[in-house]
Amino acid sequence: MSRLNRAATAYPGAALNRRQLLRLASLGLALPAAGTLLAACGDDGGSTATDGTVKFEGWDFEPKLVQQNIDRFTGLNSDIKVAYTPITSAQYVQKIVAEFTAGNGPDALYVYDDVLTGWVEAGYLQPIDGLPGVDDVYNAIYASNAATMSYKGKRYGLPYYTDSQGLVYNAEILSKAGITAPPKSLDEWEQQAVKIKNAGLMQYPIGFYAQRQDTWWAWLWALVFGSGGALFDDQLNPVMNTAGSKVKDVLAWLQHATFTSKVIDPASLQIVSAAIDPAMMEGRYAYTIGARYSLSMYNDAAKSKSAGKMKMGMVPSLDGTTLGTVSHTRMYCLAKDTKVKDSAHKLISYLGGFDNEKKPYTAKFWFMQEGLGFTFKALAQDAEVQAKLGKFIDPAVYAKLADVAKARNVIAAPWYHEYETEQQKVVQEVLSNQTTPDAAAVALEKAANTLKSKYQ
Amino acid sequence: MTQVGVPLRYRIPWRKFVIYLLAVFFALFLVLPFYWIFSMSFKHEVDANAVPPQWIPMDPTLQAYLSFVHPDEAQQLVGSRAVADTPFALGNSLVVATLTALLNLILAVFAAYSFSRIRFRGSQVLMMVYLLTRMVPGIAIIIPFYLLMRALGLLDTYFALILSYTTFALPVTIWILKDFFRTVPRELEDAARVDRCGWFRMMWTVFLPISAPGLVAAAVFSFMTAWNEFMFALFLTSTRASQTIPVIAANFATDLNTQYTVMAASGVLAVLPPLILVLIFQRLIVQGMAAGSVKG
Amino acid sequence: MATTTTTTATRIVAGGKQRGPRQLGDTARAYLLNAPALTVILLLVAYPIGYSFWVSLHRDNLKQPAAKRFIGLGNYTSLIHDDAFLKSLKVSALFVVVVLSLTVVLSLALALLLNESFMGRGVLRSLVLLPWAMPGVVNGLMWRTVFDAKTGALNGFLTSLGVIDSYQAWLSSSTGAFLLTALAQVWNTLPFAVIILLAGLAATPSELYDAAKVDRAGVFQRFRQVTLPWLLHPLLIVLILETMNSFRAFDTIYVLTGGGPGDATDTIALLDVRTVLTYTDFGLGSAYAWVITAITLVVSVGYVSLLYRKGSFEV
Repeated sequence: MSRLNRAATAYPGAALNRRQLLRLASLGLALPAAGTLLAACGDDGGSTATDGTVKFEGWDFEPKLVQQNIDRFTGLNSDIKVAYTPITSAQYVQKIVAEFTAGNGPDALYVYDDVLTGWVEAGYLQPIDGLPGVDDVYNAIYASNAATMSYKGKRYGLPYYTDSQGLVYNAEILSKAGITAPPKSLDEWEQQAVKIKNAGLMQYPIGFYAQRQDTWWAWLWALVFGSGGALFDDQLNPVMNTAGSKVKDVLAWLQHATFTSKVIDPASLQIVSAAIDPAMMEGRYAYTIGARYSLSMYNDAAKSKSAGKMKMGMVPSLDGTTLGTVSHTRMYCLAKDTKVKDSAHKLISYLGGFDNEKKPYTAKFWFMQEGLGFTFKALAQDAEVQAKLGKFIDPAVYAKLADVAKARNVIAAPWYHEYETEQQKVVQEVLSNQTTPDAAAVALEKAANTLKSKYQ
Repeated sequence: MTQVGVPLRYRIPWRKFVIYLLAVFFALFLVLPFYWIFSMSFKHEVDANAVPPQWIPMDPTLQAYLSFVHPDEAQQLVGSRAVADTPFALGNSLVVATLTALLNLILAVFAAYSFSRIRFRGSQVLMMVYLLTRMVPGIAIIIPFYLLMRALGLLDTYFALILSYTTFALPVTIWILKDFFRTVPRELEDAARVDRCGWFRMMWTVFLPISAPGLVAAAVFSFMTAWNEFMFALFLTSTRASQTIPVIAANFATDLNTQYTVMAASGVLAVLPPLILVLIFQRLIVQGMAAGSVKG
Repeated sequence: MATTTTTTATRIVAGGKQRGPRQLGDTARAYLLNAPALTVILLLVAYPIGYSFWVSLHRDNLKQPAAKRFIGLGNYTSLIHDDAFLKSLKVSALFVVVVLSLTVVLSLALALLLNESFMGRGVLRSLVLLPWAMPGVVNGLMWRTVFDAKTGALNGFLTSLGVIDSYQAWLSSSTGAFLLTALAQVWNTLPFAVIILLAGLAATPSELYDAAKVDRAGVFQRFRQVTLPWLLHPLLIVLILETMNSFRAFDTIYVLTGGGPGDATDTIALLDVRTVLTYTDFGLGSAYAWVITAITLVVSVGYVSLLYRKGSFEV
């Protein structure tokens, strides 16, 4: 072997000799060995059919609070075990789809209102009609929420929360510019913003989250509904290009306010929905359109620099008198092929319906903790709810918004998501002056029709 | 380029000037973006987004990094778990990337040897087949991959990721190694033959130690591939048992109420381990690629 | 000892082992050595690849499970009328061209630079590897903060230099978003290209440079006649790998712009992911993916044949 060794060490390229290599290799093996042991303790992720545990998944909004509720449930129902896995919200839909496709789906889960019909059609969810307690819940909630959670005459969900969009404004900034009341019409809004701009308070008083994203642009729907307009009729035909739909006028206003009065921030195209909250709390914009519950965060002194200054008004309309807005619902549903149907149903009944004292405990809990809107009509009269409301929002505005809110009817179409993507794209072009409102309406109509025929 | 006729001491060192200018330009280009989040990770949240930007933190603090040590205190704002998950994710990434590199080396060494030492029929086609598996976008195979891993019961384990990443890195690893192996002198193997060494023994005692730079280059490449991958990690994992650092980093992006300083700190941490690795081995990496890139 | 295998008689290269009476042919031995790697790849990737191609031949949308059926090349033929697809193809093609050109130019410059000796070369060498250590998602997040319209470093930097007088929304314009996304992508993938090219330069025998100096060859002549031929093979590697990567590039673009503004950065990779995961149209999404694969393959073969004339090499 001596000749070999000599040859080996003589080669100029040899940077390591055998011993060094062995040392490196053994170090390299030690780590993986530990890793293998760790992997053995890794989560199994298998089905729960064998031990009766309910597999529950939702997006990761306040998972600690969710766990708290679940613990209360298992405390009241000691024979049921629940395994809760929060999933990061940006990939929630994709992951659930992947899981169900692999036959690995949860037993109970959160569902967005705009994926409900798609998931029902794909066979992920089962109807809950006739199950204990469902009728009571549906009798106790607002009609629009009940309609959103139903599809083709069957009911699928129990309510998690609901909310509607309103005009969020920073009262302090407004008063500094001499404005005492929020705007009622779009023109008035523009003029107020110009006033703030000219007072040197900020360059762009209005901001929206207008980066393309996988979730919807609630503010855009709110603006259209707020002026009494519509994008689709009851048969889900596109109407944005017809007279009276108000869509072109809203788009024209958006473009005018961005490029003529220059009060809407052109950088809105870079803002994602998660980034608008810190922006408002830091006082970077005077106005935006946001959900009612966002005010509970904006007015929380522990989290926000602008606590106490943020207020909500009705969504400004084209004519100044119409009132309207868009609402959305989130719900709990049952998986179609769950093997623990009764336990899972008990869980979602508890979370989305009444507890053992016949009170909507969880709905009230979410409202008191995070200001999430409730679907139960009775809660509006609850004293604690009223008190909490007064702390972050005008109760009259809160109730009025819920009254005039409408849900998006087009979410029942299987092509909704493709349409929403197209809509975001087109509106971005409006906001970057690459297209006219008229051309935009035509493009949207064309896209909707193409999608409709594609899914025939 | 020499300037003829100019006295020696007046010759302007254009070359040196250009070289240093370019060096400074590139150094800034490479470092400044990273320096930005590096400095942001040491700022207080208020200063993170100050205008005009503070290039050097005026009031440096370790608060962002400490929040990884005491995640519950940092969680008062929003109940996301990204901060608490980060240390676990770092550990998972380290394990997965290291094992991927090792597995890659083992498999690739055999294959690369065959390309470098043996002229065989279909070698070009075989190499193209290897590369072809890398031309199919991940999104096309993610669902069947998920199904496969589910069938094998490997979801949310290290193995799923290691196996996936090995297949991703193998084609290029084999390519790198085969080029490098070609440059190892055959006399060494002949000497081994004369000494009546078995093939495995010859490889272990002679061939591989000589090829160390190439092995290091291939190992680092597979390590990086595994470290940086996002989509498969996202789908094949679901809890901190196996989630890797890109998945957790993405959580920061979509987190409601993100603290930019903490996000910056997690970015710095995500880069640190592989960075240290390549810094240690940088000479070997270049050497490993160098010997292989001969003409023909 | 030469053994004839089959019709194409290949001479055994020296270095083949002497075995006993049981002798394996060269080709067989080669494939045996490839067996472990091939097995792993085929087991894990063959099924998904085959499955995805099979799916692309179907109309398969989760939202309409009843409509699922075999349609042969229907998905592929529909691409001719698919506006979103054609537009994204254009965006991708442009993106690949921009990223590739920038990468080649910058990496070549860096590699040539690092081949010279100067003070601080070791430091620069280490710095070159920095972007490589960054996952695409982190890279996108980092550049987001740099390009931020209100608080970004780029704005601050240019303002303090006096180049601009007010902060710009760089990512809100089509060209701005496109170029800056390309820049972010180039930054992230530059190190690998530099290493490969640098290695090629390091392998160039120094006698050739000496000979060129004796001949009083100018910088450019020296580059063309000495350096460039030795760079062709590494350049080929860089071109093929970077084309593959930029066609498939997703993480950085997704985090940085999401495809906007409008569809300025909506590459085919983004469209594909959206089609499969958000629209759950597996059939069409798989078809998109296979188109990407075909294009990449054609381009790679194109590179090889283009550079094949300049020197003899194999892949």
